[in-house]
Amino acid sequence: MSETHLAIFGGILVGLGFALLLLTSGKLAGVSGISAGLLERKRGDLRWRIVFIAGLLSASLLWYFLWPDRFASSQVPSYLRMAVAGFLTGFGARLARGCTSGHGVCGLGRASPSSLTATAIFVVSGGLMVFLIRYFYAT
Amino acid sequence: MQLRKIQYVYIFLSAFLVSSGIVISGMVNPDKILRFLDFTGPEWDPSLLWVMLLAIMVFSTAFFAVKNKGSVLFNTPFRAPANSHINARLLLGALIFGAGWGLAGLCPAPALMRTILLDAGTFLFLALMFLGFYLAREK
Repeated sequence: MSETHLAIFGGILVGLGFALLLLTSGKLAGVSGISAGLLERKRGDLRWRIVFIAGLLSASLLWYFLWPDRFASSQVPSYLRMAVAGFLTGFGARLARGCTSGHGVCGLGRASPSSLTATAIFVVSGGLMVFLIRYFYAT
Repeated sequence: MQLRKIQYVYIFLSAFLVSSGIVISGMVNPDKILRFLDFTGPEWDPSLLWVMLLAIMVFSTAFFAVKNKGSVLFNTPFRAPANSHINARLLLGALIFGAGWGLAGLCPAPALMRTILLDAGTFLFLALMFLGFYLAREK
């Protein structure tokens, strides 16, 4: 299968996952919203978030044994870069009330104008960062 | 709203599907994300567009099917959220999130999923991501 076919098939699975979550539990949330909710420590609201993250990690582990190459990245970012990137990603996602899954999939899926705006800015801002990094590494 | 045991099974399964889609589509690999964000680069990789397009199509089918029903399966109440406003908070958050995304090629779901590789950089990313969640929380 080509990368495009894999992307299409993978996208269908991602959509089915969030659809199943919505239809069986009424939850409409992306991964940053689900994980950030762990910090609020509201009674009765923690277990489903933990179960969801356990599902993410279980599938990831299973796929790692079946297809380790899929995880093999050539990136070797410094700890400093990972720390800064993690902070910006978390801070930005909460400020914008959503991440690539929350705005990019669930928000766009419900035709929300604010999610369309957020997703467009994610892509432009991310693209600009990649461009700047390459520019400064080249000089 | 108390969730039933079977609903937790479905929540686990939802996350399992989402995670599988992220692996199969290649989005668990920062190389693929950074090649997508590198719009002017020699190896621009449009895979992410396919993932999002298909995920949105599948999810929106489910969303619009239950939008006005007031409940989903297992008599669980569901209220479609009102569209949030496009304000400074959203714009700034999206800009910051995109910068972090472009810096490491990781967003929250793949970052959580990559913990199974037991790489220190990923844990550092996640620790700072949660710090960012906390500092940007809505009070």
